[in-house]
Amino acid sequence: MIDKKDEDGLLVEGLRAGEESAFRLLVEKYQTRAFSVAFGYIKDVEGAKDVVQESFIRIYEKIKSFKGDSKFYTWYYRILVNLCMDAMRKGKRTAAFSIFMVGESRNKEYNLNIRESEKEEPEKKYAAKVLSKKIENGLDQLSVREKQVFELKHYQGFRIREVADIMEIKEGTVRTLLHRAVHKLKKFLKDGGL
Amino acid sequence: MKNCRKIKNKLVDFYYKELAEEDTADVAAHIKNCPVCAIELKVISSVLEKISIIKRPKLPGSLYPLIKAGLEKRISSLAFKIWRAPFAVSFGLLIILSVFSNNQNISPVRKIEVCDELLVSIALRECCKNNVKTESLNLNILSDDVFLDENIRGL
Ligand SMILES: [Zn+2]
Repeated sequence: MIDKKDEDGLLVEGLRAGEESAFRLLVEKYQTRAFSVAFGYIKDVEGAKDVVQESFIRIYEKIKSFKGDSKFYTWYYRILVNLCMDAMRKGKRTAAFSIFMVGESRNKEYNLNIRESEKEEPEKKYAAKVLSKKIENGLDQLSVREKQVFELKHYQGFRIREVADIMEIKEGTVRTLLHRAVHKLKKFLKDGGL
Repeated sequence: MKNCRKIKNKLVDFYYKELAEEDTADVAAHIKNCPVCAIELKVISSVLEKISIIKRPKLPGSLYPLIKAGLEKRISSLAFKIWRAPFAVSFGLLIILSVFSNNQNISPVRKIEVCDELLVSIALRECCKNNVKTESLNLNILSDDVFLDENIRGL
């Protein structure tokens, strides 16, 4: 059985050799995670899709410069985060839109999620909205590294060791950053009376 | 407690169930007897659980067709640029050559226009007689070197 690392290695080799199927498999393997990362920064479904699309095009174009001394996802994650930062700098982020807001926006899928979970108890909808706003503000207050660690651990479900690998930091640093992030978020939630 | 610092370092791992069996048992035993660490774990759990209430949107479908289309567009635009490059170079060279030719007056087409063989021969005869250069004649004569040579030789 091929383990995860070898599987990526084979796909990368395939892509280097110009095999379209290898590229398609890499996209299908990582697009969900990539979208979640991008959404965390861009906070807009269409904007996140654009960034993910561009990130994979970059992978195709730059695969020959990938030396293989780090894991494929580590390398890809950096390209993706840089693109997210660029998109944010270019002001692609819709200021009026919030990841957790319920309202008219381009985030139809997200709104559907919220509606599904709350249509039975509409009074909870307001509470969820307030909480969401607090969380969003809290996440925005984290430092870049705290946010990255939190995203990778909490939203993407990587193990602490994997987060350390991706960010090229020590596991102890991951724990410290997570701890700090949790306490900052606690303060924001508390300040909001939640 | 003596071990609090050590245990606190493991609380996030404990929450995410990433500790080995033995370490999990140690932390569980410690927090049973240590209210400080128990509160810390409660804080971590409560914050992370609150945040987990909100789910992020899921990617609605595969982005591969979009990515492939975007890539093909990028490649064809690059190919067009590559194809355009020699064309642009040739065009540039032509412009440079024409400017250079103008300055050096080496254009194969003289500023004279041949309309009529007879007219040309008369004009050239007049030129020879009066020692006047053909270019200064106010005649529209279109010719090339060969044609002029032949006419001059024929006189
Ligand atoms: Zn303790």
